Amino acid sequence: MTPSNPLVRAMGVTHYYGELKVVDGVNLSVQPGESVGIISPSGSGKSTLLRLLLGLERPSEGEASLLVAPSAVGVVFQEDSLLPWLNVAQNLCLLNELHKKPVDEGRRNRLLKTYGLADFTRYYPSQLSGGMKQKVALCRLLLYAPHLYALDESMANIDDLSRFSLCDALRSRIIQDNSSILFVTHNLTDAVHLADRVLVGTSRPLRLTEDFVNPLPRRRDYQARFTRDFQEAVERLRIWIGQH
Amino acid sequence: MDRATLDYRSFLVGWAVLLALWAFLSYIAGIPEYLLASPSRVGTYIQENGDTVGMAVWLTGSQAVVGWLAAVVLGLVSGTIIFQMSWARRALLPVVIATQTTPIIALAPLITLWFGYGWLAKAVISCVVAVFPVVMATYSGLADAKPTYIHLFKLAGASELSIFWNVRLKCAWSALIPALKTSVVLAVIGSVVAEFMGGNRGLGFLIMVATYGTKSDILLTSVIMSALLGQVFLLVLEYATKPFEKRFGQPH
Repeated sequence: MTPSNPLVRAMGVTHYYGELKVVDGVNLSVQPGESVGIISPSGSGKSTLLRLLLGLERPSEGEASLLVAPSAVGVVFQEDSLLPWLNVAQNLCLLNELHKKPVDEGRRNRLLKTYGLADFTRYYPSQLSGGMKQKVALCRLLLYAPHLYALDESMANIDDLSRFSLCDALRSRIIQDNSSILFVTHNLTDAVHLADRVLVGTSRPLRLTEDFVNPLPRRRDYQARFTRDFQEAVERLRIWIGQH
Repeated sequence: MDRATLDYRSFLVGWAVLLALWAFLSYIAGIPEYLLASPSRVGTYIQENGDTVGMAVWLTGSQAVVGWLAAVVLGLVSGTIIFQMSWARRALLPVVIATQTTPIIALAPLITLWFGYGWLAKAVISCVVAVFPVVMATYSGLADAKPTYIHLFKLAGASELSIFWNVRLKCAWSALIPALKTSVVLAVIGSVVAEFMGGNRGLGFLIMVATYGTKSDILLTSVIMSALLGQVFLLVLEYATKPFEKRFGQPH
């Protein structure tokens, strides 16, 4: 694919819930191999925008297009991504089963071990903490390996070490598979770690006001978090968000 | 805090407390036998009339079980129809509510007229009393399925039928489990009340006979047996649904 063939495109997307405008004239695109983050204050309409971009809701105005098959998308929502009637092992393989894609057992076992889930495979979501549920949901995505990873505040409850490691794993995967990430967050450091571009949004109604191109090297791991460049990038974003 | 549930321990403790209170009122407070038969008198009555009491319990219980099973099937089907079709919601929901707002004492003679004085009419009355919670729980459970679960399946290209079967129906379990328990208790009440309306057997009939003859031993026996029936059915359901509650019983 070339830059003219994005996976997701929004043109003048505006959305209302009744009289309430939640998204205002959003334009964006996500190219293959690109990680795009949307950052804005809590409650600004980021999750709504993500649903619009994934075709799960129809925008009131404008055009939001998912330009890959829905089966090429793997999504983790802020909460309730795991089916409560399936245990961890079953939830982990859910996307593979739904799409009839064979499970890579080696990858599955590595993920379970890396993220401390190996002893919990028979547990049900109601028996897990919020952070563990999010880890299972993210591991499910890494196991399925979609073309587009759609993440809705999907690391908010995860401990630092696991979060850094998951960001590394996601970045490695998109470089390796030329897949893409579209994520929304209000966490500045995660945004800088994970994104090639960060779109800065306003509080409700959500408008995207800045397109921040991450100056950090494309191949990077969590250790980049402790560099001066990383801290400067975070600071720039903080200032931009503060201006809106 | 744990949810209030019935287990065999609380069941036994509850009855032990009741028995102790009853014994106190009878033997120490001195309430006369014609007002409150003593535990020993009730025990003697049960011992001497085991066949009659056993048959009454069997009849009332079997009517309640069949009525409840019918209510479950009818409730699941009509709850699903009400959820799926907006015209059915407008047409059926008032009818379902009407069966509940009309006292069963008023409906029962009609049902008896249609189905006779036998066992079937009483099972039908039991079903009418028990169906409402199942209908409403099915409808609200299907309607309240988490959008995120549905989105997961939609992105996987699942059909509406697949989403209904794999997501909505499973989400409905969390509402259905408590409704099934409420319903089984209502089914016992329906079965007993149905026996007031006619016929010559069952716990309801015994209660009627005892009321007219001011026989407090028969009255208490029937009341205790009715209460036991409801509690035993509830206890069975509690244990039967426990494995599902871990998966389906959590509020979504």
